[in-house]
Amino acid sequence: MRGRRTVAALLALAALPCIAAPAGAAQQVRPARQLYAGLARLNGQLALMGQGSSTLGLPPGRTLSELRFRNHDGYTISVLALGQTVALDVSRARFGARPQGDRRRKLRERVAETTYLAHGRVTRRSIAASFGELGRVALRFRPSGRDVHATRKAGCRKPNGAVIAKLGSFEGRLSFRGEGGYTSVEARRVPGRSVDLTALLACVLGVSPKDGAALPQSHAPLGIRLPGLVAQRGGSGGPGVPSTPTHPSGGPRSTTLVADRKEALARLVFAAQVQGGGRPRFLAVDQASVGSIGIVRLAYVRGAAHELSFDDSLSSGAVQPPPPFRGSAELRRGPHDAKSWSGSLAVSFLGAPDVPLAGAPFGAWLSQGF
Amino acid sequence: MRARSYLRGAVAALVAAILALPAMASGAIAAPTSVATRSASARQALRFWTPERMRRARPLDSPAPRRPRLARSSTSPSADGEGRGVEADSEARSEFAEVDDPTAPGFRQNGVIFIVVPGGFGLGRCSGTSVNSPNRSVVVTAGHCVNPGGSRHWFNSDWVFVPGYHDGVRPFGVFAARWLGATAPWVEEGSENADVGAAVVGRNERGRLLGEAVGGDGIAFGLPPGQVFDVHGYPVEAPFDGATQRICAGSPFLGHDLASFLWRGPLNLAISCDVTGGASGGGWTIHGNVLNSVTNYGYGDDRRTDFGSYFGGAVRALYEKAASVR
Repeated sequence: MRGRRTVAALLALAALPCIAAPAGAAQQVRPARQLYAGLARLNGQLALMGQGSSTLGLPPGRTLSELRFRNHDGYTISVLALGQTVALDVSRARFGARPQGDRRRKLRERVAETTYLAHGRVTRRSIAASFGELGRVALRFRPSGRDVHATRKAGCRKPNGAVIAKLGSFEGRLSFRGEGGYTSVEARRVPGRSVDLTALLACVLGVSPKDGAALPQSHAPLGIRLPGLVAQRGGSGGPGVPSTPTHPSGGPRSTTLVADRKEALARLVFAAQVQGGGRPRFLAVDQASVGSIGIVRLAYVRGAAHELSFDDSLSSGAVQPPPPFRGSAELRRGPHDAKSWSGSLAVSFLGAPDVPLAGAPFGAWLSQGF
Repeated sequence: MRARSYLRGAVAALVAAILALPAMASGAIAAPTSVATRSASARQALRFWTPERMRRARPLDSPAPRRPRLARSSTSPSADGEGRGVEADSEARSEFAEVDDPTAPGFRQNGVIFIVVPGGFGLGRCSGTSVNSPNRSVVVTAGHCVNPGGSRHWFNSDWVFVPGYHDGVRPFGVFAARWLGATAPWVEEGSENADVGAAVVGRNERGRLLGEAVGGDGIAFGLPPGQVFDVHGYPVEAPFDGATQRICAGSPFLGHDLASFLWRGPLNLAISCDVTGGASGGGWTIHGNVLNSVTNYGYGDDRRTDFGSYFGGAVRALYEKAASVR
């Protein structure tokens, strides 16, 4: 039996916004390296949550189509099409202050995001996919004539002037209504672009996919490393064995608590992580295959120091994260390495409120790296 | 498990109807890719594949060990052609139970595939199924049992099929491949949604064609995914030992793997079955003896779910190409 390709795929959602242009600025030219970094994050999200040896591959056409806009209710809507895969992403993020000494970026304080995956008909110029009762996409790309070229300014290692991305708009119909009506979308024309992955990889890496270049990968979605869940390829089964190497760096230690529940066609993961004495970050991801669509839900928030605690021997840990989480949970290590993960902890995702995150069905572990 | 019989006429009519169904996949289907093998003859293959080498062969890409949950089951088909369907029940679904007699009609078309893995990676094994075809020589298995996926390299050296294999015995002889093929999405991209391969085998050491020796399953394409499957195979890894054939009887379709949405080709199929390494390529049959998927992969942290490819247009094209090989 061929082994375990992960699927955690869903984290795809979280990745989508990174590729898409910032809301309201979709027509702006973005450097090739930004596009490439977005792809890295996308594939990192896909590889998250375990077992994955296979994430997004380069489709035969090697074209990625994407669009993004801000909906009337404040949610950011994006659609990404790659090969046969069409991902519709709904997200909302709240940003905090800029980190000290970094004038270019703000930290995410809170992210809520749900990505819906379907198989559709995708060409260089069109996207068509059904998301069942939730909605459908039938869009055609109209290039505006503005392109992103492989230039040194764009960050290309080999600036050959090739077109990396065509900017324009997608026209047709995008209709979607989230579960329980948490959002409703009706769009006829939205800004977007068509990215030539071959040209992008050639620009940034200086090599052709024919020479073995693949989509880049990162294994730290939203900056959170999940030991034991990412890139688990062996036959040992089950989480708990960190599979990503850590290296002593002299920096603050990273402590991570992970709880994981796996079913045949679904997976639910909770993670809490803190660097030294900083503010902890909390992440929950729910991924499931439901009929002919896949759904990945993500909730992320930065908390206060007291909301994640653990003892020096890592024999116990406790969390009480802020909304969209509620309640608390405690990890206790007993004799013979037995562990219990119990409490009232739950999370509300977009489209799925009050999902329990603790109890017997979960495996949980606490680990510390450098 | 409880056996349930089907009327012969009804089964025959159903199978005929299924075989007549057109492929459901729409649009152009990429042609499968294939290669001629280097196995010269069954006699040479027989000389190479000694019982000792067969014992040493390991599953390709071994999965995690599964819990021991064995039970004897499976009613062999009767001589009058009654089916061997086993009623789906929660107790039966995930048990990979030992088949009483792998040489009996209805089971003998399933067998073990032995492979010399190129590059010095040793001896490998998979499971496969003899399928009805005009040349009476087609074996269907997983794509990764003939090609590593996303590669132009083939496992085309000393690839043999041993139907009805049990306990080191080769009751119907050894059939060496003379042609290997796989779906285009598997060969071009390694798409797990299309992990299906096929072989055309030569005569065995007694001069008989595969179809003459053991018969074959029917094969169906383009059906709705919501079928109830009997999963056949020769799992090697613990708690099994690869010595004989096993079956998960009456496993209903559960849904699609989430990862399936990321790969090219029709969404794959999930069922409940405790398979382990070596079961790759094993046939998933419906309505008695109609092949409608093969075991592809599983996850190390979910030991009860087995994933197989949907048989759509790409698999149909592969089968038709194999069936046309002379």
